Amino acid sequence: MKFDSVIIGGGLSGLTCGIALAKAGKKVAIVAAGQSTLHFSSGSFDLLGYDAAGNVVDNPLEAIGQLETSHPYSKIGAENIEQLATEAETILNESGLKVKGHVRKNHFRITPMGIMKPTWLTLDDYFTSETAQALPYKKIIVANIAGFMDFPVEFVAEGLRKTGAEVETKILSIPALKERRLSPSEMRSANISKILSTEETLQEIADKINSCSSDAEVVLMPAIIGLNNSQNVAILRSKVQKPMYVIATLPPSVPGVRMQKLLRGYFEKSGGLFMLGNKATGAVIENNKVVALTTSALTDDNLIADNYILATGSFQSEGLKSNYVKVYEPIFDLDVDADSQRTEWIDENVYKAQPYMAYGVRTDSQFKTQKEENTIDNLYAVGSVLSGHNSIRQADGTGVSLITAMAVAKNILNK
Amino acid sequence: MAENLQLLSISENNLEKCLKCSICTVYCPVAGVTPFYPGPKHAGPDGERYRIKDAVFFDEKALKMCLNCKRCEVACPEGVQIADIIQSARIKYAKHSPGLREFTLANTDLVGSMATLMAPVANFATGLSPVKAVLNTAVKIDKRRKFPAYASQKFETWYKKHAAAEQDKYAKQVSYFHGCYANYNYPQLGKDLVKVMNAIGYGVKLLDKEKCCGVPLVSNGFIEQAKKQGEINMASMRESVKQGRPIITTSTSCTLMMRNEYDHLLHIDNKVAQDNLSLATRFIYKLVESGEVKLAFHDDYKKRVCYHTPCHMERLGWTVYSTSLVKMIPGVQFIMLDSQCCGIAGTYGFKKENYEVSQKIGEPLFRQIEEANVDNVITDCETCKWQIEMSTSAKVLNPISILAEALDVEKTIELNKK
Repeated sequence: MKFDSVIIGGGLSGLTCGIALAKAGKKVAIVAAGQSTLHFSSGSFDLLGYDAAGNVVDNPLEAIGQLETSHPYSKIGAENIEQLATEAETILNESGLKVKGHVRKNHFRITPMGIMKPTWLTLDDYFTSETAQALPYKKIIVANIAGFMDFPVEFVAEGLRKTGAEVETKILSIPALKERRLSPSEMRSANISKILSTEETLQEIADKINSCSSDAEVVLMPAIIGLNNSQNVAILRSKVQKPMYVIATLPPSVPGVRMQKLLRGYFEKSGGLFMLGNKATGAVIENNKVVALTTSALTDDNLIADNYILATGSFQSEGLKSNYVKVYEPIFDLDVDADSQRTEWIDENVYKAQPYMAYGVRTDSQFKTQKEENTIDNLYAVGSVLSGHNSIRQADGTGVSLITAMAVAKNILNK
Repeated sequence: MAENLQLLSISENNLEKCLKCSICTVYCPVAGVTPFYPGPKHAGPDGERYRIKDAVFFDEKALKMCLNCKRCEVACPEGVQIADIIQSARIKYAKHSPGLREFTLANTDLVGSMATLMAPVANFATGLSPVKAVLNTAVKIDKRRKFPAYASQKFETWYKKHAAAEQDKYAKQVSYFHGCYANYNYPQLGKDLVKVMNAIGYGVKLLDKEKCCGVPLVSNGFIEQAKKQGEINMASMRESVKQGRPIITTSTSCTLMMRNEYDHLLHIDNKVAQDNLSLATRFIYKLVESGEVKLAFHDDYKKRVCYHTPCHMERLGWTVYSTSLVKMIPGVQFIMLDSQCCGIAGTYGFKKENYEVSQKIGEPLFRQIEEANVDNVITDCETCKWQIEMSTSAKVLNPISILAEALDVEKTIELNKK
């Protein structure tokens, strides 16, 4: 099958890059081996949360100028980031993901562990704060669902109390959710959201919230509503008397599933072909150009394209792999930036920056990849598979995914 | 050396690669509608760790609720074959021997042969309330379920009488694995297939011996029989390939079973199927794309259709072939439905204890179909067709049938003469 561009990987980076290309009229296919790490989403998109020394970044655009030259942002140039960030935000909005936040000013989200973290954009139904030290509310109710264990409600409450707020926790249930507890191991966010998806169950849960929140200024709940779109969240918020926001849960992330579905939907609506459950298995490379991609489902039917984009993620998504002797990129065996000595891959102090986090495929200033030190002219890399950044230390993972996706789409369109 | 060691540690069905991320749970249609199913992660890799230690942890009642739709496997980012872990456990540990109901549902070949012999009686009888009541209480096949009608003439019989003799005049040949459905319930699909293939210059032969692929046998507990039939099918396919005929089918579930599951589920050598068995839509699409074959359609053909992705089509990853082919028909207005399970899962939805779960799973799909307001729903799976036709007002067609409807046979023959 023939396309203008074939993207390997159906997560945040692959989808947004695909949308940008499809919107420009290109024929694009995405092959995805399985569902993506969007299913672990915090509900926020980080551009740059911490500088190299670990200090909280207030203005990400400013701080980007100080990054090392190996960082993907440095390849794009600090002066170009704002434009690309705006384009990424537009795509999120157009796909139905309403976000709040600003590229020149980080705000704070709260993790399920109760920690305040700086971030760039957050889905608008999430609880956020301008600063980590003081919240916009003094009397807060954190309401969890009985039997839902992927939301450590006391950690969250403790984290909020550190700001001086008065926090009460409540446990809610309704008959339909009680029945779901018959299978306690499946008392998971996605299953709960399937129950809380009718007018009746949302009304019942709203009644429970209203009956216990008369003293509070705000009600916070785990993000367990709105698997397919944000409509059910809006319905619940309209039924709850007090302002209501959600907080990230442990995976799977309901808003993450929503992101995946809406972005895929927008990609397909823009004319793209999304092939889920199809794993890229190898490629034919001739004269430093990829001429065909082989996949697990379309045996003896190669994917032919002018340009290929590697958006396979890092180790978790198998965009990178390791064995006892090396770190490698499994589809094309591209050159990677990684220590050759296995002992150097990790720091034994788990709280220190782990070297392997910054490993990834080596690219030039256009994000073109290389193999055996030759640049592959039509194979680009975007997102977490890129080397040169540590998303845990610097809170820049989703930002790198979005910004490099926009940059590569542009590089291809300007070719 | 080091790398080899790692390769050796790969576990059956990729069990060890499960990260416990629970993404599979999000896409499990059963876990979404009933609290009595522990979900794919728990029933699959989690449970397997216990079962390996002691068979006492095999929870037959829970594992039986798995539809084997494989949406968990499509979703899994790590390539864990979750549904196969569950199916393998059922094969390995099931203690209850299958009963009369399982026998009736599983033996599509035998029951189909008997039913086509007396099709009017069988169709009439399975529609009668007293018969349904007996099925419901004694055999535990749900009385609310409409039975697929049996045809009065098998496809094979029609083929021998009306088509077989002409097939040798075509230079190129394929073998058609028609499956039980085209044979006993809906021979028209087989006739449509012959019409389309002949029009593009291919003769259609049948396999020397074709047996039910084994999908209903495995899900109802007749493993040995499934193995025997699988071996026969593979032997027939090897012979077919030897004679220069690749094999095409019109059923996604038969294809998935023979091509992707015989080897690791039933330990049958199926290389011949992996290399030479294809859905007819894929076979034709590739011919058209490469320019080897051209299609001409009736100018006045107009239809509004929507496509439903069967679970096993999703697992095959071949949706694109069927949809692209249908989209080639100029008069077709095409709507893509969300890919979700219809709830029937072969014989699953026929069983009394599953009826409600089955219908609940299908509900969002049925709603979407009614809202789409189409002339036909297009899908590649026969049991999806039964379920959708029973649960909505829509009439369902295989892509090959809509192709046969729209195809201008004379013009197509003319175009492909060279």
